[in-house]
Amino acid sequence: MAAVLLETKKLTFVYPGQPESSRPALKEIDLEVCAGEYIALMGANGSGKSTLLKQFNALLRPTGGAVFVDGLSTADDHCIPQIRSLCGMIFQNPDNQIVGTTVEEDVAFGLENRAVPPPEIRRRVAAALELLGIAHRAGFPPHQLSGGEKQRVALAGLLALRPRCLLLDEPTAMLDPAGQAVLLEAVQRLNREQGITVIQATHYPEEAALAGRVLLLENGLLLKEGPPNDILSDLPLLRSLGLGSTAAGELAYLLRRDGMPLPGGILHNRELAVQLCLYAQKN
Amino acid sequence: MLICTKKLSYTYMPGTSFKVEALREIDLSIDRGSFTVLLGPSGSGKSTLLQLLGGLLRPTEGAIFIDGRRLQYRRRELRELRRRVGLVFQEPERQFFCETLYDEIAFAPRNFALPPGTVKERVEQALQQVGLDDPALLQRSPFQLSAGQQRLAAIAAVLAMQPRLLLLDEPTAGLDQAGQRKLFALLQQLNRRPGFTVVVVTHRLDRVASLADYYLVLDRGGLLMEGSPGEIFSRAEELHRCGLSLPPVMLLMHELIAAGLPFSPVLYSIEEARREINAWRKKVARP
Amino acid sequence: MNHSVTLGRYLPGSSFLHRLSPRIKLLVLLLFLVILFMLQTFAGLGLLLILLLVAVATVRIPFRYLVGGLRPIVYIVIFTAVLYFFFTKGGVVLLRLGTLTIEQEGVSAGLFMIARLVGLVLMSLLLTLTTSPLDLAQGMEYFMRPLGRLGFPAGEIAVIMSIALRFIPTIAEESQRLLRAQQARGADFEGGFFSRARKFAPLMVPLFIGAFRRADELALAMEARGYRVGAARTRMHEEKIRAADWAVLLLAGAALAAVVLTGL
Ligand SMILES: Nc1ncnc2c1ncn2[C@@H]1O[C@H](COP(=O)(O)OP(=O)(O)OP(=O)(O)O)[C@@H](O)[C@H]1O
Ligand SMILES: Nc1ncnc2c1ncn2[C@@H]1O[C@H](COP(=O)(O)OP(=O)(O)OP(=O)(O)O)[C@@H](O)[C@H]1O
Ligand SMILES: [Mg+2]
Ligand SMILES: [Mg+2]
Repeated sequence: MAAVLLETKKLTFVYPGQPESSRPALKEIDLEVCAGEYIALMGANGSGKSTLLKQFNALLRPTGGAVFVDGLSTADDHCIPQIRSLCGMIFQNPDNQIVGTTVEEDVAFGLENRAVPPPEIRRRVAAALELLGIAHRAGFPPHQLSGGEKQRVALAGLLALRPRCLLLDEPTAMLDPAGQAVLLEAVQRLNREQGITVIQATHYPEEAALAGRVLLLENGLLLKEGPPNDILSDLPLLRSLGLGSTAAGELAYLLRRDGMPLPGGILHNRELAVQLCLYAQKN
Repeated sequence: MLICTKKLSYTYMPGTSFKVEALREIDLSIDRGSFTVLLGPSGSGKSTLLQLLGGLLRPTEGAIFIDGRRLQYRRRELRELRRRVGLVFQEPERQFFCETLYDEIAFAPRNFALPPGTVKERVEQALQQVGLDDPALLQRSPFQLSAGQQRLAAIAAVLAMQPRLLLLDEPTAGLDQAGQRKLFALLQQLNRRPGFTVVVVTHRLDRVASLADYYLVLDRGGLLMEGSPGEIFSRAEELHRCGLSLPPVMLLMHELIAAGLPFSPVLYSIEEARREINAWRKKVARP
Repeated sequence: MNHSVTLGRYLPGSSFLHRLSPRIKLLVLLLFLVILFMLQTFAGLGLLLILLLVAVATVRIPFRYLVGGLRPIVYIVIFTAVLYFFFTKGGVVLLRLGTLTIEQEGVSAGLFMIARLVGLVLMSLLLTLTTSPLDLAQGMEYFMRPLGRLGFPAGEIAVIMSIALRFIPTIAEESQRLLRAQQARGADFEGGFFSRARKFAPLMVPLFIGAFRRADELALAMEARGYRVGAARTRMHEEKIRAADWAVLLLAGAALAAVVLTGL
């Protein structure tokens, strides 16, 4: 069993300035994430996904309970630089993340802060820009880019850093299908080959289906967790939370309700095709 | 015909080393009452086109015609245009400027000098339409909402204008499934009103595919394709080449067909797929 | 339409000035500031302005981009002119408007002041236009480092300065954004100067709130991405002081010497 990398203990969080009586954004969350896991974080709008991700980067710190990253408490000021170099995050809105005055400078920013030698920085920056298909914009001011291009810049800045843990807040929201595929593949590869831990907030069941474990948040509570095949085929639950499953998952669920004998846990198109072929053969 | 463009071009920062020809000689038309979807890879010029149509940018070359009249960018015309056209920005945060959510939604109705009672009604209606009617949020700063809540707020702020032409830039990015379902049900309902036109920019075709009646596809600033859903999606190869893909249901049906099952590849919603498979099931079950 | 380089904005590029070392640029700026305030004659100021305009030309950005950004300066110039023209007395009376007079000394002092102001603006424009704020902050930090040993918070001040340097362009961007956002919801900003000014007034509060929020977000983002004040960093493009840098510094020093010696 791999070591625990991220851990929360009765984590509660209330945004500063919110009335005492208001519902906390996170409530008594107990969670353990082992090194090398790939986790999808799902939940309706406002359920606390972004708030939870920011806890692991110490951008927000618990108002109750505790958060540990590789054994370091985020409440401890001295640990914060180390925590941030372990866990790299991309924000939901790339505008809030970009600090450089050129694309290249922005992607290099995190590396420069970690005092990586310049030739190495140049190499990694070039590779990241190439991977995400924005090399032709390297010298541009980032605020002159399209939405999808900005999101790619933010992602390139994170991937170039190669942190041990990636905190991704809806990283594909503004990407075109090709960009989505490139990113998801890159993240999966990092997870598989280098054991990088990934926590990805997402509204897209297709993306959650790629993870090893899915967490469901509701109103700041960790409602349920489990492998995607279990969680994403529980459509009554998902719907009651304002969520859904993949196209194949939804269709399989509806067909089963119409009386078709299909096994549970179908999420991918291929799986549904196989099951329908089996059905045709049996009849 | 509602809007058409003639050789419409837009260049950012002309004359500098950051010159970008975001749109090049676009000829297109969008019919009154249509539900048009604007597709294209990142950086292809979709947001630029939407801002031109909303009168927020002025073409560097070419012209826009509205109801057959060439837009001259006179003050009166612009005022008229901006009243009829609602544009939801790609980044909702870039759209906010008020201190509370309520003021934000109330901005347009107040700006049109409606009586306070009507303003309140419009705000409540708009928030309810998008499903953001939690009273706890009304007095909060729009910048302190979650990303999805911000998206809903941005849409509500535009709905409160009661526009006749709605331009939405990636309206589903960041919305949960229920929010998306609700939004598209609303768009469909609005679009049924005579003359109400919707233009949506999106990278996700799952929900929009069953509503859209017209597609425009941009690629690197040029208009690559335009036409009915059938016409566009029969050119899957070309779409794929510029980084786009088919609606998820179509991909699913393609997979089923590839496995030798006898289904139609041209389906746009899960419901249709369900009907098709159930019909097939009756056929195979009989012998 | 809205293409203008606002004061304080950095425009990435590869011109000669872009490639000069930020530390050298800061030193040269300092030397030229001294020169600017030592110059006593119109001839001297004229020479300096010509030199600065030549430098601006080497940055190679279209003239109209500059004009848009310099508009606020016009108001300051007008204000200065009025102040000096009417309130500095002496010499021949050039114009009489009722009880007010414009006299020769006022005009020459006013013009001199305006020329100085323009010189000052051009210098800071040249620096910010060609130096990324991050480089600038590092340059400042470098010079303040000796003070740091005496317990002076050099790093913090450099960061504050770099964020402050960005603040003017942030305000400019924020006002663009607000304008767009309000226009998109039916607000009308067309029309003459006065009707526009009246409509802009209510924008001031959201403008400043917005700009402060942006600055806050920027600081937060820098922190989240591992920026720590005073911590050792490297640069992607190593900053080396090359022969050209030394040459420019030398020339600036020579210019200062010339001014001192000739009394221009
Ligand atoms: N800065 C803030 N101040 C006060 N409350 C906030 C702030 N940011 C978020 N909230 C509230 O905290 C709750 C959780 O927000 P969070 O952003 O974590 O949601 P989320 O799950 O990421 O939602 P989304 O899917 O919309 O991004 C929401 O109810 C939101 O309104
Ligand atoms: N304000 C700006 N200044 C300069 N160039 C810009 C600006 N906004 C966009 N561009 C450039 O114009 C091109 C088209 O941008 P646009 O935002 O229209 O793309 P898009 O199709 O909406 O892309 P996305 O799907 O990523 O949002 C891009 O290459 C972008 O870099
Ligand atoms: Mg979020
Ligand atoms: Mg866009």
